[in-house]
Amino acid sequence: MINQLRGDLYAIRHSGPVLICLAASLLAAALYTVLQHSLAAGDLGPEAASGVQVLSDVLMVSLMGPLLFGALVAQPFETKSVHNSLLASGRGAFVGAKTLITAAAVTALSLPYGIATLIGLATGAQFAPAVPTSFSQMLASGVELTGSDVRSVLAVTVTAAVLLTAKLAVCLPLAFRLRRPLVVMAIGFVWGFLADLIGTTAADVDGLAPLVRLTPFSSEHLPSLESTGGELLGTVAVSLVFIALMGLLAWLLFRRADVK
Amino acid sequence: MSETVLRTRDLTKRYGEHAAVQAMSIRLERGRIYGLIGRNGAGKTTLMRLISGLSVPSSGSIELFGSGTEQPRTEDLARIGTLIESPSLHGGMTARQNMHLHRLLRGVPDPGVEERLLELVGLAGTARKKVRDFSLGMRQRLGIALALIADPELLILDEPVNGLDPQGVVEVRRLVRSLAEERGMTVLISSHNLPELFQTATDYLIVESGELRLTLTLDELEAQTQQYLEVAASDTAALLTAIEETWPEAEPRVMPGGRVRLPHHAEKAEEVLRALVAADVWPTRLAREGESLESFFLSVVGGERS
Repeated sequence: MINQLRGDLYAIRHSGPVLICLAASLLAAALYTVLQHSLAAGDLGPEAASGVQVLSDVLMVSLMGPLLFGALVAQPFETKSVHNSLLASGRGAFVGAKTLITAAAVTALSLPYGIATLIGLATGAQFAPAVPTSFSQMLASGVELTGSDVRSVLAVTVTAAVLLTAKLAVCLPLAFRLRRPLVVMAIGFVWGFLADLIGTTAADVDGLAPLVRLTPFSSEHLPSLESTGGELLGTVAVSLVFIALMGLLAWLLFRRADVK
Repeated sequence: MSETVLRTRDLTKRYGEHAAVQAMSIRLERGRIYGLIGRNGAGKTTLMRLISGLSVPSSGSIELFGSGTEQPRTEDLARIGTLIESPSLHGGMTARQNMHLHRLLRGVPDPGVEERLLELVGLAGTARKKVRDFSLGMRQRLGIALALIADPELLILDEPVNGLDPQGVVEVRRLVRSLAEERGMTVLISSHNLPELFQTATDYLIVESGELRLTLTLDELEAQTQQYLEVAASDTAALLTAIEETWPEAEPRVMPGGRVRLPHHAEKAEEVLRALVAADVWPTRLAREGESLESFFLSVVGGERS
């Protein structure tokens, strides 16, 4: 599995889509922060908020996350580099490595928003959330950055990033099944918007709420600066278990599948 | 006793009702080159995929390197190199970068192997050229280098000379032979190019409709496809006497009807005619006969003979 991870990291360094996604996320996070300040300062009217939210972490990660799953999982099937991977380390290690590398890459997409939040808070400027995501709410809170606040922002950033990754982790078995980057991206993008809706609807059904709470789709898992350490840890645990389950599902789908 | 590298027993792969590979039992020995011959859809690539762990058999067993197991283990698969259908290439990378990626994937510690293999397949000078700009032949060469990156004991090559120019074909042939002769590598190679396989392989597996129709060595294949001169005369005894007196090493074979086959004189019809006339034996038939590779192949797989 280590060989596969080393190979994947090398491929990422030479892969256009992954580097472009990470750069786009960095740019979007910076722009999103500036525009939220413009909303608060009145330089942009409230009607501009819907336009600004296109740059939010939720939208950007929903768009680029599935693209990363496609590029990192499905592309080796297209290039056939999967042949050497399977000869070298077997199917279990291949799926394990892909689960780790995609989870890390998609999580990394959210991190620029955490950094932008820290910088925004450090300026002491006002910010108006264009959409109520964890990062926007932290920015709007206007807390003064003490050492413990920085730790809290970082903790919420990591939690929100892992949560977003978990929501998109359904793309993992999908990528192993479909093996077509663009199809995975399209389905994953739609899923990114439907998932929360389905989670909220399911939570309203009698008896389903406790189950939904065990998934990353529960509205209770919205990390904020008010969340306790236990709540953040709970959200991370739910997210990691869900990602692991998606990895297991991917392995079950791929275990005896034919590779072209 | 020769070492068995691969043994399949009743290996079968079904897709619904269709059997792509049907109860195939084969044995490959170390250091030999096996030519896998069959028409399109005969099951060649499926067999290669099954051996490489890219497909899972519907039934039957695959034992690699005398492991004693019925399905390939990960550590056994790590001793295989493959080029199946098309090379595993990242178009946006250079040949060297592709080599580096696959060296990492295969966990090969020696970085020098990248340059050595690129040199071996004639791609050392491609420097910064992206693989997407490579010709088909260059891609095939790189695919072969990638298949060799982990110094495999069993090399599986599916149509490796596709797209290669005549010089490239000769180079691949030399490479495959040297790998088998010098490193003791076992090679399973498929090709539509029968004359090329005839010059490369030491053994042949002929498959048709997912079934193994025939296995034979190069000597056996040569015997089957040998050209000969067929002579007949009204007096067969005199004919034989004239032949044996002129060429004591001729090894004539008398066939039903009194026809005499001369296996070493296929190209010497004029010489034979002169000798017979000089011996006052007048031939009633003098013809070069024998099966071509293609004709023999078609006779095995049940197709129309040329």
